[in-house]
Amino acid sequence: MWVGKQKKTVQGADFLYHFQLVRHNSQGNQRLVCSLAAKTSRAGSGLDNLQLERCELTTDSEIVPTIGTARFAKMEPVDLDIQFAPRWTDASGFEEVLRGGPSPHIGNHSTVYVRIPANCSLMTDACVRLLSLLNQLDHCTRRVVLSFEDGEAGTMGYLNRIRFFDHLSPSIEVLPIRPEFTPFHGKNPGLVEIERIDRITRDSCLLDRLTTAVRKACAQRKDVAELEGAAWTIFAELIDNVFSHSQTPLDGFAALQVYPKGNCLKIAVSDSGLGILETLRPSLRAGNSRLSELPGVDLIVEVFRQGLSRHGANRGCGLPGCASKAIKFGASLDLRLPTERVWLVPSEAQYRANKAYCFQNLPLIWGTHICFTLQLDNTS
Amino acid sequence: MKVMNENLRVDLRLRDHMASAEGWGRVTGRAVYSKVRDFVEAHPGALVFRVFVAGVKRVDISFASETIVEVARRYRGNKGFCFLDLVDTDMRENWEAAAQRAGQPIIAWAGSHAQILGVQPSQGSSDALTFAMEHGECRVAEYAAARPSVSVPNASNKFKQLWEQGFLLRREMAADSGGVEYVYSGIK
Repeated sequence: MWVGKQKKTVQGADFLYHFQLVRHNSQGNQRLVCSLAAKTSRAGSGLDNLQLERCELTTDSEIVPTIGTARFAKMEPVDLDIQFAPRWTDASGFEEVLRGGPSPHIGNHSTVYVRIPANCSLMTDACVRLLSLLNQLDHCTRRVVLSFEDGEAGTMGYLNRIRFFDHLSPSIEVLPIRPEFTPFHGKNPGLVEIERIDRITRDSCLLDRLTTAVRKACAQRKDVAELEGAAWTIFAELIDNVFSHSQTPLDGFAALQVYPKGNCLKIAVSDSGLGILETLRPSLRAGNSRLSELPGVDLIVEVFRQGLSRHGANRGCGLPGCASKAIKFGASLDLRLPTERVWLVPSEAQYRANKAYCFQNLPLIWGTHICFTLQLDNTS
Repeated sequence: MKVMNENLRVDLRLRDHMASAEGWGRVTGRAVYSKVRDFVEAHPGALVFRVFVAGVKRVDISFASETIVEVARRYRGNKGFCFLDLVDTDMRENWEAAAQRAGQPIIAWAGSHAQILGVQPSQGSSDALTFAMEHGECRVAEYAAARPSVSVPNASNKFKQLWEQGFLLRREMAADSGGVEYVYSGIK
């Protein structure tokens, strides 16, 4: 039995519902808590029984398209507050903020408030993850409010310059006021705008735009060509994976930024798909591969070390190739999956399971979110 | 030293088959693969395709594995593919990674120096490969005569293995004795 109506919106002739669901199995008390975005052309009388025509059932580990009959009981919606801290916030900081409260995807939150205080600076990896998460919540028909304490003078201005708001769903509210994009080219050579990974149309100039910042910001380095080549290959493989594997219902995002003071270069790619393990593990099981039984962190290490693909042994060379390029610059790898996060640091020129930091049971975020942080202080 | 007939060699300019100077992604790679395969089929008598990457700015590993590496794998044993102007380190690494994954060796020439991208020959066969590449073409008996410690059957096995793995090409010739013997040639 599924219970729990949360929100209804009207989209043309269709009705969209978002629910918190509790499912009881026939054996007893086992419960599966999940969220459901459902679309139907019938509003349903009192919502006691509603024939679902198309819906996506999101559990902690999978998204299952399903059709069925749902029964609903009214639940009182509550608001969720996600409050960032007034400091530099990278992907780790972003996760820390999320872990501080209930999952925004799961729960009967009708409105999700995301508050960015003064003196909070979001780094590029945190920006693309936040962008993906907000668009996901909006896609689930939740009301999302993003507020900035110091307005356009602070982080909001930075986000505007990197086109964050161009990619943010128009139905997400921005406070104090949603800014209009103003071009900022040339003032910071290390800054690059967030690029949308359009699932339908492949933009052949996308990679060039992303890696131009490396050429400009690191022009004084002797190894600038190698650095630019590494960034290009990493983006090429990661973005191609979004096209090929993610089955994302939403566009993905890619961004890059050079941090001269931190001596590092961050390369981030984020999508809202199924997550790399959810697409890989079933094919490994189908092929009776022993790798399918590996814990998530070990499997991820193997994906980046030896290369694994759901399309067979001849495929899967892209991610090890990325890792190989990145490791030349001592890069750490931060990989966020729907409920897991793995942070890898290179050891003896490769990523190893014994040098992996794993975080499990995290608040649900759809998709695969990858960030390589290349160190720029090792050579000129 | 014997040299393969120049008519059996064809220059393949990769850029001519690409929509842009940057090759990235499997989908793009497959489209280029079709064009390259058509080009190869249009030269039925050619044995060696000398690939030039002039004008190609970059390729990623997925693109590399779907294009020249895949074509070389498809025609392994019948036609050979080698690079003649692969000087960019970044691009060479990506071709190397793609060839390694496919188990397909591809030779990159820098003048008279050959670098094998992808899988390497076994220790026991590498001398035979070097011999064949230095001589352009050779017969098993010639190698066995030059290496007294290697028997003819052993030498024959080495060359057959190198041919099957894609390091060498071979063609049948009438032996002086009236039977058939193979002439092995390097891919250049």
